[in-house]
Amino acid sequence: MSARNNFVKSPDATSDAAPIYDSARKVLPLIEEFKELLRYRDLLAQLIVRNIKTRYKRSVLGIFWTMLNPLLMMLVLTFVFSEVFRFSIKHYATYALAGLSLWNFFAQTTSGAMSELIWGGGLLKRIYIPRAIFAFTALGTGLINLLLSLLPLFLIMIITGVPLRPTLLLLPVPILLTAMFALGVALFLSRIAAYFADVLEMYQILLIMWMYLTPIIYPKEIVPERLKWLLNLNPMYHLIEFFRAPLQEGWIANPKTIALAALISILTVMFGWWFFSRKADELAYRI
Amino acid sequence: MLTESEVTVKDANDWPRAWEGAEVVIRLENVFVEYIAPRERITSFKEYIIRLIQRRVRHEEFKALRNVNIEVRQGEFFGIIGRNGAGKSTLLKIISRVMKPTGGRVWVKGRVAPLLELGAGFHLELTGRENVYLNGTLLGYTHAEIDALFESIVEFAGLKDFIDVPLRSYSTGMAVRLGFAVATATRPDILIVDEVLAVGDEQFQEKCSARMTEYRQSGTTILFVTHDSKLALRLCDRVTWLDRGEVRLNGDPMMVIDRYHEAYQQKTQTKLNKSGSLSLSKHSRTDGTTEDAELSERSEDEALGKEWFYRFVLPSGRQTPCYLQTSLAGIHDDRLLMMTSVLQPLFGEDWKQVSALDLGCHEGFFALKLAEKGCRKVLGIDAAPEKIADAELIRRIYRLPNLSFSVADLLHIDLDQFEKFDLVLMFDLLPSLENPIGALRAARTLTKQILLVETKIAPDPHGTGEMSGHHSPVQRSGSFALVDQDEQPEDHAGGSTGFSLYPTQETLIRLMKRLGFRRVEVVHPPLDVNEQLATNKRIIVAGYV
Repeated sequence: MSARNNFVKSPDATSDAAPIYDSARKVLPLIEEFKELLRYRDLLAQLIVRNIKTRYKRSVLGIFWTMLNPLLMMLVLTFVFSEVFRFSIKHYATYALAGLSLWNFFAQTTSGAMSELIWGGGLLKRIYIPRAIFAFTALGTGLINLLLSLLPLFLIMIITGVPLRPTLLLLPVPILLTAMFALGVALFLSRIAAYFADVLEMYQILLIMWMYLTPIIYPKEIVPERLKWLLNLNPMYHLIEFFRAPLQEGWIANPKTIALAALISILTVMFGWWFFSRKADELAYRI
Repeated sequence: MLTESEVTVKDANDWPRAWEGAEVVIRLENVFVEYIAPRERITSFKEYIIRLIQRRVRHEEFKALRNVNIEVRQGEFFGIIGRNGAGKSTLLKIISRVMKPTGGRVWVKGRVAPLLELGAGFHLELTGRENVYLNGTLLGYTHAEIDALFESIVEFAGLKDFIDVPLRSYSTGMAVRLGFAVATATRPDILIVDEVLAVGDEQFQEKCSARMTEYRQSGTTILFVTHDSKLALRLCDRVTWLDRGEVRLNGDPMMVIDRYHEAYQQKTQTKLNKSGSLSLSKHSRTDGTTEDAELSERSEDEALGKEWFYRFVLPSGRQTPCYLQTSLAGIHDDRLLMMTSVLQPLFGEDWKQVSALDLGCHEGFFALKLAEKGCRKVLGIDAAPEKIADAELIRRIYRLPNLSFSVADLLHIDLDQFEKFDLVLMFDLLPSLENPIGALRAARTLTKQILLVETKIAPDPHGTGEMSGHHSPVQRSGSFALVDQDEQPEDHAGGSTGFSLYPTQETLIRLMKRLGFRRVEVVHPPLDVNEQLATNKRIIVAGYV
């Protein structure tokens, strides 16, 4: 039986089929890293399972906590915004919960990638593992939490009488685009966090400001006309709009939103991947 | 120093041996590892920006390996020797692909198993079973492969009954056993061994060597890194001597090691001549100069030349000889583990604020561990000057500015003048004192936050009885047992009477409460700890002020 290590997988360990590592082989770091990730996919699965398990292991409510948390949050928000501030948003509960779910997914993935890398930094110094695995672990964990939070969302929709339309089948597209955007940002930040531990802290503060600048719990209509340009510069605004349209109204978002969301996400993930992998080999002695 | 002409660098390829015809599995061609890094480690982004503006970021080039050429053939037991910072671990890292060479070429054929990091990535909240999968995939196995190997891994580690228990209740020994079992679950083509494998008890160590021998016989190549030239001589087919990133000599172990010794004997000699009879004063400065580094190196050699009660892993990675049996020596690790389990929740990440006092510090083992954790200040005192001399030797080796030792007797220090400490340790001291109650009272006076008392205890004789001076039977809840020290040779520290006084558990707790501790708790030992700790013949009690 042969276990694959850092090397090309071979069916048996006998001489000529043995995996060969040659530092002089010229492979683009971009592609190299991707190939290694594929090879280590079982480790990725293990790390995601570990995250989910350790998060819920010691809490009584277990996995239901993920669902209860946004529900409670939503109840408070609904009260504050539709009773106190008296916004007139159709299906406010769905509006807020949908926006929050996607925002949480983004926030968790990006900050998670940094803390994973800091946790795993010691490992990178001692054994070979693909460096990007920590960003992907955070992404996978975030995705699972997002899918779990869709359950209470659908529940609220049914209870509050929001029609479930066939456009819901489009949901995977904005989720995929958000995942790409989050991964790009996560990879970019990870490389910086490997050098400076306080980047994570600073990012947490930035995240809070960013969240309030994004129409998640308030309607975008209340943003004054002279500040609209700020919204257009905010990638998360387009992604959330795209995600929310089929849920709240059963619509497909307008083509401009979709095009912008797709363009930003693809560019971000490409940039993040390039930025991270070109210096991936240095991480081992920087962390 | 040796001049170049005195040592001719031998080529790796011209040493004839039985495996000469075997194929090359590791080939390093003109390998360089040199990188530029900031001189001081800047960990904060804010600081970096500020320094950048002030133009105070200085960079330094690290030359870890310079023009290294090595070939290792299949089935060889290949040793790498050299001093600290000679580039040994960098060499292992480029072979196991953790680092990339900045120049030259590394070519490796076959699966590499690094035995240097047993249990890398173990997670305390997960069970043993879950950790096997996590650790296994980290080492590059697939999930399916671990499924197939699982039974044999658990069997080898001898943890069948504990495999579904969270790792946090494992002892250090258990975790390391599990780590070894996973790392060697299949036969690797190349096995990397860093220093001696001191895994668990003697029985398990035998199992480990048996497995390594078996793998070797089936063709596994072994790369062995060590400071211990005797061991290298015994085990290796061929040895490379690394010196400041370069190969000094390569070939027959006997020849290489002879030259290695010659070189360093000469070096030590010149050093001694230069400084004359350097006094081993207690107040030797520790400001990190080269002289100190040399002193530290020399102190290390001195420490390795004698036998110790504790097993110290010195900065160079070598271990001090220990006069305890292996099975007994594990007790130090377990005591350490129990100590940490109480202190970690209390001090968390904030060790910088903590001042600590180690009463009866002996060779300074626990004081050293606390200093390494980053305490603001650690003081170890012991009444025996020869123990403090040993502790001083350890301090010189580690050169920690926050660690100090002094000769003092707990029962005779001026408590009003003496500084108070956040944390006070009283390990294995109580029974050997003639006045245990006075000693506990003194310890209480010196404690600001927590006192940890570790002692052997006597069984509790419950019940009531007639006692003179009382009209009615009194409730007797606790006692001290008088034990002849000849029967307990470990109680070497003993007083003049030749007796040890063991309190019962209840006595100790009652005493500590009476002496003004707000809360007194017995520290629970982890599973599988040393027999004395597990059977409560020896306990650790925490008193909170």
